[in-house]
Amino acid sequence: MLLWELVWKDLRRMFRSPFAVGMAFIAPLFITGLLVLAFGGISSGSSGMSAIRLVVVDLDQMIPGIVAKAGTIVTQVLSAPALSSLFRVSAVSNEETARRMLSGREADLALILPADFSQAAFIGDAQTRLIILHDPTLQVSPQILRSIVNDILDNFLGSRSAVSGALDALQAEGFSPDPALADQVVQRYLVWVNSLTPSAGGSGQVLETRSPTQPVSSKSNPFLALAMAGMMIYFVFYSGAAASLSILHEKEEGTLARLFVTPVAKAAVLGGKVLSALLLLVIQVVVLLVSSSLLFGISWGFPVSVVLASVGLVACAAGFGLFLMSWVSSSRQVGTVMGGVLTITAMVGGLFTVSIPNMPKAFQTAGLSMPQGWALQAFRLSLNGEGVLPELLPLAVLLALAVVFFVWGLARFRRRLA
Amino acid sequence: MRQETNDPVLEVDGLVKRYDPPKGVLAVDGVSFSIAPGEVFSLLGPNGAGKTTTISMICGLLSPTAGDAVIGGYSIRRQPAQAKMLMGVAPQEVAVYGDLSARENLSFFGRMYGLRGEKLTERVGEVLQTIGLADRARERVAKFSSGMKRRLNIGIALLHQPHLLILDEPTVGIDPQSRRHILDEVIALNRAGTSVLYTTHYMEEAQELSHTIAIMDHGRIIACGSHAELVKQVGEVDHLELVTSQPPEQALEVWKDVEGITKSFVQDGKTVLWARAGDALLPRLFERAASVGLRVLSVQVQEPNLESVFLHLTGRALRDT
Repeated sequence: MLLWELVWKDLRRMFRSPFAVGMAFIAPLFITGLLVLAFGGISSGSSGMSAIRLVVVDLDQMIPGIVAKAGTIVTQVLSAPALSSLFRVSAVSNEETARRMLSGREADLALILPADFSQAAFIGDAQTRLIILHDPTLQVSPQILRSIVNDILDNFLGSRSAVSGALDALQAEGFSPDPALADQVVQRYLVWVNSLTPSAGGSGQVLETRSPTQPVSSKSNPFLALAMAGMMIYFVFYSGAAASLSILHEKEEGTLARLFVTPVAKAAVLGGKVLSALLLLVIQVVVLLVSSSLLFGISWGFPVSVVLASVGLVACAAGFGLFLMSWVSSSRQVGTVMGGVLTITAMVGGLFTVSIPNMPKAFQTAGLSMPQGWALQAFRLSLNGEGVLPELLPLAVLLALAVVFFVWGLARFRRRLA
Repeated sequence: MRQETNDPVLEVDGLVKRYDPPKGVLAVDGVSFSIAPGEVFSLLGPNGAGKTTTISMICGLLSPTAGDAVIGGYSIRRQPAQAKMLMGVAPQEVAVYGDLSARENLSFFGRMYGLRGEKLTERVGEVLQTIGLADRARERVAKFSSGMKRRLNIGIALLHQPHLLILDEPTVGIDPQSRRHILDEVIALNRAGTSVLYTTHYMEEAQELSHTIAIMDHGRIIACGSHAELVKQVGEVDHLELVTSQPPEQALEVWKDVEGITKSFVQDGKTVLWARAGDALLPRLFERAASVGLRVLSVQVQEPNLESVFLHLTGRALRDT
């Protein structure tokens, strides 16, 4: 009860300070937001870009005896949920309508799939031409569409080559397959391709690309998620130090001495400080995780992994803050210590460079020499959807560091306040 | 919380504080005194005399090198929590939370003394009335004047109705109106039965408030008693301060051997003479001055006071140290 009174007083004071609230909650979201505005769209290919209005004119004709139609497959892939942030697809029956929509700025791009598209894609005995019509002011969008359609065509071509290569190899071995069997193989392949499209109940992720840092489960922008993780860790460590700084402030304001002349034990007063720091950081982390999910669509990973990473971060940041402030003799030194030490350790810990792709491995390893580096590692694993088990190592390191920092910091404060 | 007994509220026995022993500064050197129920006891002395260090040991902020303080039967060294429960301390520097309101400050510290629920609400309301801040209770303390902050500083010490109220230089750095308010508050509290330990370097305050005054210098109590008892130590000596046309050192040479003068010195650009029956001496002083062409510009005759006592005991003026 008494501890809660001490904690509640500290939390109330903290939440009444616009600066503290700004640094705890607004700054990390604001800086990440700036990064999104500056780089987010390019990095993700989705964030910050409005969907391209694509009109598909599917003139493709069904080939007798073949179960699928190439034009349908292309249309369905382009309409898949995975590409919904890129394309808003509508279908029209003829090229004139598509051109009229482009002229009227009702669409940005039109894709004309010719009548012999399936013939060319599946059988390969005909040359055909897909046409992309676009608003002449658009440069990037047609390239994106071209690239995706080429990917689909490559899939068709590669599979066709694989089937015909297999038949050739069988013939070379003296085995002459029944033409019906070859036809059956092709049919099964097309059934498989068709099954991948969303309308057939498939995932619709034929063209999905995955980066090494993108979680299997997450559809969020990995650049943004890591940048947010870095900012969150930096500002949680900052708040940890700021919370312990209140011991120093209260000492200078005389309120700490005043508390010590009450019947409350010194240990309880210091315990209240530690608890209020922990509680503040828990609130900060929860608010930042939830608000970044809502604002930036970040999916932080499996809930248990996120909780473990958060527990490690909160404990270590609170302990580190206490330890750091135990070396500060007056509030005049605070700017140097908080600005200097926290920024340098954050830099070495990799918080500011976390979203830069292809950083040297040595840099990541060096980051683990800092507590912030381990916190980042914990959130990186969570974002990668690695599960609970790999999370245990950074958690153990963070908790061990927290214990060391707490014990050392409290011992120093007790000596100073004796 | 208050108990009606005749036992001393506070007994201080041989308190010593040496920083960084064995060779460090000796801040308090064997201070002993006791405070009876309902008594106002002042520690008077110049800055650095050891008053605040003594109080810090009594209220448990500093560990004594030797000695003990017993409050209501509880030793501050062995039973600090019980002893602290009987004390209310208003430190020299205002120690309140500027970002909380007056009511929030009082409620928080009240809880630290174990007050809860209706009792807490009731005491907070009473204290706000006592310190004259009831109409500003919801305002953040940071917006208060220094006098209002001082009153709140004292109010916090009153919340749990302590046996002993300790006020460490409560009127330093505030305007005369707030100072008067605080002195009146202390008098009213004492009339209501509160024992008070009061430190100050203003002799007028000590004289006005105290039943007993202990004069401290260099960490020791050099005199202790009521105002009358202390003044008696100086004897029936008047205190004459003369301003002359010539330098005071020159006037001192003229007057120092006049019969009836017990002590003469220069202070603040004035010639100071101590003499029995100072009024009767004045004609002789004027005669001697006229004989050497010394012109007297002003004369002030004072009866002995605490300043004289301090000067008598230490050879230094209280306000100069």
